[in-house]
Amino acid sequence: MPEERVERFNLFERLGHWSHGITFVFLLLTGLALVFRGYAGLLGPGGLRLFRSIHHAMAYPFTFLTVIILILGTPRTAWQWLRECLTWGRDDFRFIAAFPREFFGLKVQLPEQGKFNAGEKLNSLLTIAGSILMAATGWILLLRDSFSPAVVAWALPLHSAGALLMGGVLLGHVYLALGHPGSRESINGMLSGKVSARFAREHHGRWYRQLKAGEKVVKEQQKIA
Amino acid sequence: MAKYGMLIDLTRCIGCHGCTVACQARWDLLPQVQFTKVHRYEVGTFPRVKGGVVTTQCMHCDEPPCARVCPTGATQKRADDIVVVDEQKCIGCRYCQQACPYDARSFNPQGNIVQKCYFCYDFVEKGQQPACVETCMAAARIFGDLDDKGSELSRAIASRKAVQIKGTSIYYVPPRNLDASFLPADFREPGAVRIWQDIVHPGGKTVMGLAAGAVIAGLVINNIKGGGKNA
Ligand code: HEM
Repeated sequence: MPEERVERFNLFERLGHWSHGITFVFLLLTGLALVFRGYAGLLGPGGLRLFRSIHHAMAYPFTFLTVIILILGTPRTAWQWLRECLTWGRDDFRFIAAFPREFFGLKVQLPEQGKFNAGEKLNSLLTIAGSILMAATGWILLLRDSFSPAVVAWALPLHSAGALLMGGVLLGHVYLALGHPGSRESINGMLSGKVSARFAREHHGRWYRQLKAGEKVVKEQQKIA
Repeated sequence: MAKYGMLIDLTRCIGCHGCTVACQARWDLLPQVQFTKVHRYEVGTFPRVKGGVVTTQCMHCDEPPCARVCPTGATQKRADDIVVVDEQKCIGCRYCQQACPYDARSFNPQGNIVQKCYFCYDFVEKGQQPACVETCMAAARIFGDLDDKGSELSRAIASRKAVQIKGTSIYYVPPRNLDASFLPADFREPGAVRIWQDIVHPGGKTVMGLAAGAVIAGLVINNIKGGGKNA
């Protein structure tokens, strides 16, 4: 019997995630060429000029595309996601405190989580804040002639700091999505939109129960009809 | 090796812009790109007004922040102390323009490069003078070797009581009407450059390195414990 699967992300949530993720990776890989001198030397001036053009072109979809997809495609779930990210309870802090052991594959008991666990909420908040910072400082750099020299001068260290910190967060994010045996089932939620029921139960217990309760209500309503 | 520098005697400068134009002609610059500029100042209130002229250009700093921030190594300080830009290597990111404390760099939108005064290094190598020095009718500019105590430059600096802009290769004889506060300030690395290069870059690289290390450690531990199979 094929494993039961439950829907986690609709098409627009997934498109929004990947339009952000892909443009972010392009921006990071092209931007870091200006930070690591060895990498810059490898590319040479011609390569760097090309990377700059890619960086500048990616700025448009990075800034606008994800927001447009979420607002037009799936405003209700995007709003729910934001609300959940901003709601923190005791279990969330306990989860964060216990999570490093889980990250390294050590034995640990994690408190039950909703649709988004506390780590995902933290990652979401960092991503939102970081993206606003990157877009704001990036556009200042692109439109530098319209800003005062002091603003442009400080935009650069902020842009670099945001890029390098978010680059570090991205490495952890990719590891959890693809490499970590406990959590890598979650990548299917962002690809096909569905995860195994077992994964949902074990990693997002509160969400799974709400999902089942919702299904039951629907079924009972169908019976009555 | 020579250590090149320049003296600008502002008691002689009449603000004719000859230096600006001769330099533009020699380097074939766009009209909006000026390696050396002439600024006029007025002090006091009418009828007691005094005026003065100050010229500015690349100061060929001892520790040029423009060279520090250049991601391609296009801007470099040579052994003879001249700060140059290899225009073939420049990608037009304009980091140097922000980093310069003297606003001495210009963006050339046609070539998508940043340019500045090169002390006419290739002419100097052939024993010639920089264009601005050659053209100055009032002989307000003297170029030469600061290390050679017998050079015309070194002798003029001593005899005319010139002020060195500290940390740079430029000396001024201040105009009679204006005090030294109208001259470019002594060199100080801009705070944004220091934080960016000394804290953000090394700190950020450390954060990325630690994250990569943590991921590798996690992969190794998970593989040893579970053979990498899903938990
Ligand atoms: C998360 C997304 C982004 C990342 C990871 C990123 C990364 C970087 C990095 C690492 C640098 C080099 C900084 C340094 O040399 O210290 C850089 C430079 C720059 N970035 Fe970004 N960036 C992002 C988004 C943007 C956006 C949205 C814009 C424009 C709207 C932008 C415009 C620029 C500009 C203008 C520069 C200066 C260098 C140049 O002109 O090529 N960036 N970026």
